[in-house]
Amino acid sequence: MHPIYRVARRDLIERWRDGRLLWSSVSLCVLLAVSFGFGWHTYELRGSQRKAIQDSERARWLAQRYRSPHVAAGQGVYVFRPEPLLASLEPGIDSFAGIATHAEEDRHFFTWKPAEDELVAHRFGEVSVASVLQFVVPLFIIVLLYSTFTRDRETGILRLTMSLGVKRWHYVAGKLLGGLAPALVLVPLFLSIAIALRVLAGGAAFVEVVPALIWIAVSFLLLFATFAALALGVSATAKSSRTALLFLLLCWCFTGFIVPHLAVALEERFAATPTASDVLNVLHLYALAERDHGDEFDEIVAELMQKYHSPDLAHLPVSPVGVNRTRSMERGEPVSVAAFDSVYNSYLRHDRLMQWISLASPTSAAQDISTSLAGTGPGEFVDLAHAVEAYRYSLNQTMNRDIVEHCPPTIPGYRLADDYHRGIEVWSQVPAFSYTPVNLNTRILREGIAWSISIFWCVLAMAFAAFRIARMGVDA
Amino acid sequence: MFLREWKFFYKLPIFWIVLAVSWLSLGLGGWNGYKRWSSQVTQARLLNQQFEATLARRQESLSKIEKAFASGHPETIRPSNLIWGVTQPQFISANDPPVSVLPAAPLGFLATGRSDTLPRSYTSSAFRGLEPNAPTTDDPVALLIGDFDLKFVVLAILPLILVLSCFDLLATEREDGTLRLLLSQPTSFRRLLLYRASVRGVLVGVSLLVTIVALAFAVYLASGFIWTGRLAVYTTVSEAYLAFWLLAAVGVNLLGRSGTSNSLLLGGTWAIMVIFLPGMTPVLAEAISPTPSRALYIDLARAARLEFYNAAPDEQGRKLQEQTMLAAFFKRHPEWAKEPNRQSLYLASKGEEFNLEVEKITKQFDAAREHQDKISASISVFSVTATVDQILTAISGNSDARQATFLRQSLKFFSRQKEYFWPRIFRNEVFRTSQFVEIPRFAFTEPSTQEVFQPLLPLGLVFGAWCASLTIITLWQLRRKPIL
Repeated sequence: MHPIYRVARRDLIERWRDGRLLWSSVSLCVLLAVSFGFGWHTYELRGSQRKAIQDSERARWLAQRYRSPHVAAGQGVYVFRPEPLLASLEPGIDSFAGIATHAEEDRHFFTWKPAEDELVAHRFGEVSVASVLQFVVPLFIIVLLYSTFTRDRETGILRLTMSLGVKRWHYVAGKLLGGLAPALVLVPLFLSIAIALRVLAGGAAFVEVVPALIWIAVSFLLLFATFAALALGVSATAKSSRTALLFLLLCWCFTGFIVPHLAVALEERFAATPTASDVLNVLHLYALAERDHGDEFDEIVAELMQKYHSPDLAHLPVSPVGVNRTRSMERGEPVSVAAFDSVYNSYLRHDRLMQWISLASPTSAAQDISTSLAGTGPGEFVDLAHAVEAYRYSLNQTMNRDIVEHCPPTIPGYRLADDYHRGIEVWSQVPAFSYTPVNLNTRILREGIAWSISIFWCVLAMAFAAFRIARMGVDA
Repeated sequence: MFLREWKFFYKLPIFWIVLAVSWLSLGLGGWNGYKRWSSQVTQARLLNQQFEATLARRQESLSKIEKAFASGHPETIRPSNLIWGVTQPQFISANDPPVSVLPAAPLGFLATGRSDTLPRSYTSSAFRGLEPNAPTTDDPVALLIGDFDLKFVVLAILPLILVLSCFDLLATEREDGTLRLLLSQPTSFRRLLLYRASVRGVLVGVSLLVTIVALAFAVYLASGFIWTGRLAVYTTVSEAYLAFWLLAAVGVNLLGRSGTSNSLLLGGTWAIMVIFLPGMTPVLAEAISPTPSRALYIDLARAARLEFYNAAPDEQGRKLQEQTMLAAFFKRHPEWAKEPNRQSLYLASKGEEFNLEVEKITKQFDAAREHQDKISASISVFSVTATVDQILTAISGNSDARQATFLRQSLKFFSRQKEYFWPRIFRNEVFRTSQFVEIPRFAFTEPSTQEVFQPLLPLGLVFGAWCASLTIITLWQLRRKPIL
């Protein structure tokens, strides 16, 4: 038998006998099975409920009785955040962003965060396939690899092996092979998750997410390679297994828990998000100013009469009330957009900051990438919020347009609710809300910094491992 | 002996690592807690100020109208302001809805708890019901990661520091064979082990104590008030929790295994107690008692709103709807049965009907949620960290319980608002500038000590049982012959 395989075989047997390999594999399988089951259950429940209620909202919208379009706009439609399929594996910010918003005359934030109804224990971290792969697999890599070289040095096996004429590179290659062979466990695990998703979600839905799934797997493999190389490098450097383990556990804790928390503290300190009351106060002050200023109804009437060469109000082909409503909305829109975007832009700024902060944590980089690809990142939430806003605006303007075109011009604004009624012919002009997330390329590019840092970490860790292994001493 | 161990300890690099990491994390945790607490204090003040400023603006416009009438020049007033404006109590109630603001918890700087996810203010008006969905804008990524507060440091970081500094109390000496030499000195194995552990424990424990005292002092200076009793309980529970981990480290060291095995055992225990079990608790709670559907709640509440606020399609239907609602309203409020202002009464009855319906839906939702909470509390007994987490969050005042108290008090406050505005609206009274001061303002009453601590009793007992059983096991191990 070639010395490489002999060294690799001994390494594997050693890990199997001390129970590390067995326990790590069993724990990983159990954790992944539980987290997948929980993730799928949550996804299916949330997704089906939201879909059903979205449909009933649509039915309510269409079933409105004969009434004024501006009253209908006041009823509006509740728009629910659609649940992407990959949220079952990577829930990301799903629990911390509101599930629904009211698309009506006024603009609203998404409310009802699932986290509001969840237990305090949830704040320790949500169990998901992604979190297991991001936090637990690196821990198992550390536990399996910390003693790769240190133990042989401590016990004198390395000196003995060298004295038997085994070439140094054969020994190192054998150790790497033996150390990395358990990674093969991940292949059936990845495949099992993909098959389970295919069976549960159905072929069409699965095919749509396959490219994103592959990219997520790539980002996780980069993370695992980083931790494996780091563990091997540290094992080649440390004087004892204990020191290697201590250092690696500190690294794991630092990159997985401390850095992200520090990042949050930093972003709160330097780029705090405006509060909801700040935003609502801006809009309230605008509404007061508008009221004090008074509307431009008289000017609009004069303008329309001149434009249409109409001798009096009754002969106008359009309703000045409708025109006034349309213009008032157009005027108020930039104020409302600016106020709400101050919040959404801060989410995007924080996302970029988090990507840069992953310079100190490859785990954070993997998390940023996987949430974005799964459609559960902050960027995707902001996209949706903008899409809902565009829908709300078009719903209102459709109602206003109808008033402009069909409302008798003599009906004053305060009589609109009583004197001008429309039905399904107008309600059906507003389509049901539908949302198509941005394509995969955009999502990958959006997390460009995180991707670059992930690759940088991987290359750096491999270079470190190669450098230390090449200079590794024979004695402890 | 203790001093000798102390001198020996501070010459080790691990001393400086422990010192640096604990002080950095405690400092950061404390600073973040203080910042969040002070921002909540500021936010509460600003919200109240915003409400008062709006009222002041209304008061000013009303004063102008009053002056215009008094000077005999009512034509200077815009007619639209008289049709629907500040002279009407209903306008004041609808356009400047009263706000109930949850003040920062007096010990909120110790744990963020639920304060970053749940609404901190509600608004309602005399004719509208309170829907507990006030928006919050906290960054979802920050919420996902969680706050680096003092509770996080106590529950996760300090135990890790203890575990990493205590896994090798005597293992190296045992492996190198110098332990027998050490024991030839006038000392015993147990004493050596306990002194070494206590030196590390004292360093971490005192650091925590100093941080809490410094924070409390800063908060006292800022607010002029601090709950010393609750603070003392928080400190005691935190220190006891650290003692638990120290005891666990001593117990593992007594097993007589190598330093590497000790570190794996203690590191594994930390990961299970701090990460896996608390992470699994919601999964198990969900499996046993699923979270009630919030989407369904929204749907039902929405259906109720449309049912009560949308008028029937024809005149006959509208009349019937009005009569039915008013009849139900007068049954609940016979004192208003003779009021002639039917339109306002009808509006009030709509709001109240809707409130009652939402209350029914909320009750079902809350009952299911409460059941899940109980299940979760029962499961969390398997992790000492999850148990202590609940205790510390409740003492800090940022728990679900305080939020529920806030909601209850808000509902009462909005009832008082109705009592104030309804007679004025129903009787078509003209609102006066002097009446602005009479509008009820919300003031939150903190839950009493009994209300806070009584629900914590079972959790306290569980924590006590954890500590007692570990102490017994360690004492039993200490009595055995040491493995040299």
